[in-house]
Amino acid sequence: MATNAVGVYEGTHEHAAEERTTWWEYLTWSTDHKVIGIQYGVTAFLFFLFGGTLALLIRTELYNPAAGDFFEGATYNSLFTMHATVMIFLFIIPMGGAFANYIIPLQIGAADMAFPWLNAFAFWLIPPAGFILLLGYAVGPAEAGWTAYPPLSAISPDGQTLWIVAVHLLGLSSILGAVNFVVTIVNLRAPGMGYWQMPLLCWAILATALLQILATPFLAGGITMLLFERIAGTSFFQSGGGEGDVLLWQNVFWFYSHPAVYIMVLPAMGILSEVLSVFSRKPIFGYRAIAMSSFGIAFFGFLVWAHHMFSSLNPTLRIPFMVTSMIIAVPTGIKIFSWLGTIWAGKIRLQPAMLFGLGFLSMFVIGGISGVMLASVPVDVHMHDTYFVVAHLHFVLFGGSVFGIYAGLYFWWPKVTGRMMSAFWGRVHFAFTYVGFFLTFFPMHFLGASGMPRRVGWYAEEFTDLNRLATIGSMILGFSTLIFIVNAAYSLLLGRKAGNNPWQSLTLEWTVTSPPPKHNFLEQPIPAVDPYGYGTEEAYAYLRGERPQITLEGGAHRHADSLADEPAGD
Amino acid sequence: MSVAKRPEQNQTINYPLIVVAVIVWTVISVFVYLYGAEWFMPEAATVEADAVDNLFRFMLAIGTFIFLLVETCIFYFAVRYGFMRDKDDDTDGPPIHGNNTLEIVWTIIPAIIVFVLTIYSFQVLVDTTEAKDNEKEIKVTGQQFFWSFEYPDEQYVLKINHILVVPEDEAVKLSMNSLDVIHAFWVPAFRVKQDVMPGRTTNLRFTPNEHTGLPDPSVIDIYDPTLTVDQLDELDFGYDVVCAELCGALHGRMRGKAFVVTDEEYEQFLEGLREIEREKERQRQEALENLDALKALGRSLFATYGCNTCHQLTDANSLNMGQGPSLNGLEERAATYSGYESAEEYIRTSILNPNAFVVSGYSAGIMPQNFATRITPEDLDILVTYLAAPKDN
Ligand code: HEC
Ligand SMILES: [Cu+2]
Repeated sequence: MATNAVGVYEGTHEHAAEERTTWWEYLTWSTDHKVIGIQYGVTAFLFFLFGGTLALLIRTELYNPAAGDFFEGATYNSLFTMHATVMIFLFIIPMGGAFANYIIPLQIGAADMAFPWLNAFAFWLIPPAGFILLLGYAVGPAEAGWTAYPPLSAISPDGQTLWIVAVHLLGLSSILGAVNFVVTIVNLRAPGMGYWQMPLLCWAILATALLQILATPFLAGGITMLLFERIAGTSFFQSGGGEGDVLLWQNVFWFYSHPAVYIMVLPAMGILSEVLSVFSRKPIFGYRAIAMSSFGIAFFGFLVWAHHMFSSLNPTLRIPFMVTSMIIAVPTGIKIFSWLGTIWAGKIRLQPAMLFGLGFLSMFVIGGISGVMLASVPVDVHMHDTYFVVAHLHFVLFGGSVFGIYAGLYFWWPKVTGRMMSAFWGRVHFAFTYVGFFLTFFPMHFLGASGMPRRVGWYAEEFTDLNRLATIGSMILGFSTLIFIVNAAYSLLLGRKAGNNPWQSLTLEWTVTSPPPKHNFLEQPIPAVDPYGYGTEEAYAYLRGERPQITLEGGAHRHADSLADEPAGD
Repeated sequence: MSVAKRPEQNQTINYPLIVVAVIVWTVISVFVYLYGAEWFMPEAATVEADAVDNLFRFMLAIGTFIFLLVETCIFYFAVRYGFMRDKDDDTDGPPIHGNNTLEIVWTIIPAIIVFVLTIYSFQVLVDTTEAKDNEKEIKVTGQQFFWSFEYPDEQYVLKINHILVVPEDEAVKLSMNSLDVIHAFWVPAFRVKQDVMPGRTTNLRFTPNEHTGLPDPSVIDIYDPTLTVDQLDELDFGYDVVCAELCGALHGRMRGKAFVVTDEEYEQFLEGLREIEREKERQRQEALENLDALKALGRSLFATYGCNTCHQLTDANSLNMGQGPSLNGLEERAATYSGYESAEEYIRTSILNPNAFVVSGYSAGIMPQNFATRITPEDLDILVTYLAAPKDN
């Protein structure tokens, strides 16, 4: 892996150095998608650390069965409320935005996003939103869970109002970002890149963005009603006492928040497809099936929301949602098996990115299996709102999304920073994360099934041992993050220079310098005919720097040079 | 696509290995089918619980097989093609882009599996939720932060907090309401759960089949209105009643106990409740003349209406430092507030309209705003008089 391929454009960049981004650009308004991508990434990571700290406080309290070792009552409730809100709205979703922003224009051979100003605007909604959410600590933070079910959320302290405002801003940010991705992916692909030549990250982001555009407005509608409920005395949800229906909120909320699960996991799946193929040195197995299953998941993602309400919904209505929830397992299964097919008989490079990719695959499948169990109404009625669900969702969102995010960070780190990260410490980081994660969350399946509800600071004595195991696991997990931070910091300061294409990857972002020049491509980028064609003669040629001819619509064959004047998208 | 520089690669499929693996996975899955419910689930005490457990272990066994298949592949591939790879070999793997047969297989088989699971789940769902003849109906009320149960009776309102008593082998139907926020009624041993919501009545059906009996009165007096959840927790039998939907600060302590009893024991229990009602009637009469009797009744009402979930009041055996101010010494304090004619008036206002005067250090809106509609006028008089009366601590 150490060999650096001589990228095509190497040597044409003597003047690139003057155009390097200065550090203060990262702290101010910039419309460069690469700067914005880093802004998203750093902001999201800081919130990850904050949300993680809250998680450790939760686990610390749960080391002993009695409540009030450290936190009690409403304070404890605010811990898990803020933990989930921060992790979902300020870490995972913006982190998807970070990868999409930085990588997508490069991968499709565009100079920037379609709407650079809008892109910056979408990002700059996030810091104030985070600030407003945290302001809750001054007036009593939100404590009704991230699901904010009224009437409880209608009568909780003022932090809940700030929570609504913050989530509103984050939702807006998410929609605006998504519009931009759709337009960019559809319109700005380099000549020669048809839809079926698109890297799978692009497919995944496209599906994600469609979900964001279609689903997030429902969240906005729901929290607007909740806001009125709190400040204008309306009674949509029975919280005023008289009119309204408590289930209205749950329907509207989950109509967004179930798709949101896929908003959180699809980008990670896109990353996984890149990583598994590159590090197995093999084409992705069943490219079209993987691309299309994202859309299958996105589509069915809209039809399953009420499986979060199996213990509140009208009993007959539970049945159709059981059916749709079961069906969604099929496209998910297709993905998992296709990824297995990808690594099978590969020449696997066990780089940290690959380890996290394999970690994703091996943990996500557990979340998938418990997901099918929860789709079954009679089983879910027992498991709903227990630690079994807490286990399930963390296997999907940590085992899936966060492992995927780490895989992506290790994979694109050299491209973004221009420096390599220590593979050894990356592997150590992986080992701690993997073990810590498993110890934290696997015991929760048993806890929940045997009777421990979620969102409690107090629990029955019989659950002590498994809770302690989980707490110990969480400490290992917390510690593993420090390894990553130190490794990353070391790499930034002293890491080995990366070269253009340290992983010998075929997608376009690896054809430019690391970090890429200000406007990405100094020449017309020519994508590989097959972005995952590892092992083929074409791929070896592409990696040597030879570019294919481009077939334009109408069948004319032209050399890339003659395309130099065609818009690369701006 | 032409394939060049393709390294020799041992791609022959190792059939014996696959056969061995499938056998091992199958054996483990069967084992999980046999014991899985025991590993995960608590004791089972209803007919429904057995049905749910059977479904659960069936799914768990299939899940285990898939889990083993996927994990074995991942670890085997990682070791075989990654760890044991010839590190000097810089070439790529074989350019296999897919395989239609395989892709069809791994679409169809999961589809069949989820189809079977759906049908099976549907069957269990219908069996466990359908209405039966001669159901015993019990009313359940959830409020921050305790459960209360009302048993049908011609003469009295037989209400008791924390304690659900159900007859063995008889179909039970709970009809449930919440007085404030959403709660969820869950008895893990019964494998049933249902949200309890304000403004909607929801039902839950089950047929208990594992007898527990009632606690010995010398150990714990279940009729004692000041009985706390902590005392109940010390019992080593009875099934936990849990609130599963986040309902506020003390959500985790919103618990109760369910007992499954014989028909005679059930009758006895109801008779006990009736006796309490008769006693209350007597006390009410007496209370109008006698302060001690009034205090006794006041203590019990303090628990009946759940004041003890938030307020400390040593005299009423409420030691918890919950969400509200301690009411110890209230009788003296209350007389000092300006704007009220008497301690009684202040206390009455505090109960009926808690936000009229908010004790410093606490925020408005925590104390339930709906006592005016929940407490009967007679009970309110007694409660107010009791709280305003001198106590010994
Ligand atoms: C959910 C918790 C909660 C419950 C249940 C509750 N209260 Fe309160 N109560 C509070 C809080 C908080 C305050 C202080 C804020 C205020 O004055 O409104 C308070 C204040 C009071 C006060 C004024 C205390 C003072 O020191 O001036 C009285 C009297 C009182 N409650 C009586 C009752 C009675 C009687 C009941 C049962 C019928 C009851 N409360 C049930 C939370 C509760
Ligand atoms: Cu509750």
